Amino acid sequence: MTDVYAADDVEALVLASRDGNQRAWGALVERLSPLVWGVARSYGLDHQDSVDVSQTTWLQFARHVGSLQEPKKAPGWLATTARRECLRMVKAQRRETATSNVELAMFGAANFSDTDADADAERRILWDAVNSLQENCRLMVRMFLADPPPSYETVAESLGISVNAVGPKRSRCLSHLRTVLDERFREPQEDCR
Amino acid sequence: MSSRFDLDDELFLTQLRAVAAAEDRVPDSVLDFARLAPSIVSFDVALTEMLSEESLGASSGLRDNDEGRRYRFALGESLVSVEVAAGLVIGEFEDDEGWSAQAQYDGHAVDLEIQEGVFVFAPEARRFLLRFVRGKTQVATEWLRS
Repeated sequence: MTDVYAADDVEALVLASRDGNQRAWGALVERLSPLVWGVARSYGLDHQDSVDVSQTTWLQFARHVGSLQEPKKAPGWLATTARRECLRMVKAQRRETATSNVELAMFGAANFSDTDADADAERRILWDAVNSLQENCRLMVRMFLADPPPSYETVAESLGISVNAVGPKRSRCLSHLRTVLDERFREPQEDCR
Repeated sequence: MSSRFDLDDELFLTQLRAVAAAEDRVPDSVLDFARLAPSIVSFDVALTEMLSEESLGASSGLRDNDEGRRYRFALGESLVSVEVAAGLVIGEFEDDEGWSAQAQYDGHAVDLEIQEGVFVFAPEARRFLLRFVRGKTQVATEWLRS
């Protein structure tokens, strides 16, 4: 018999969660938290704001899980809600601070703890490159970095584009990211010589 | 031009995903909160229904942990923390400006003494709720069990 909690069947997990099945809810959290977190991080919010957005999104989901018309679209619902929460927070921060610098926040977004200086520098370059992408590219890449990654349908719904456009757009975004990374990794190496 | 990153998109994403998994994991505080979200919602709904029935000026309460022994209730812009231990209840107002408190049991209520924003009492029954009053504002909790 299929173990619903280990299955990829989000719809089954949502339906079981509606009935108060805590294991199913826990499985949904495990499966979809990386997606929500990735969306929050894509907006350059600092760590605590990303936590707030993620928590608010899950609270909203708990409130609405019983009324989702298409349970299988729960990942898209979560990603879209997280995106709205991010935009709301970014707007609020802009209002609060006229000199708000989202790029600066993004630059410091990743929390590096490794003591290895080279690895640390590489990761900074990587996140900096991801964060330097245009908003939709950044959001798309961060969504696809979730493990497990979202479906094309989920990404399409979150970005407001057609499913058919996801593949080509993803390819363009990754190609751009690859180029940016190659340039940035090349620079420090040349400087060191 | 060669790239140090895999030209296959899926493999490239796998490379990036490995870094993301190591460096930007979903924090435990998010996972813990998300797991508890349904119970928080249930509690909010129950409280909201009760408050709306009684036309009280309250907002919401949050349970602090799985066991439900510690609660926080919003009193307008202030908060009261309530700890329900075996046979003993301890409450502390964040901002004690004129709040009074009552323990409500089935059929009767008892005024609670508040000293420096703290009240302590032994519940007369296992089932009770707390009512906080200031002026025309009243806030009541859900039924609690000692």
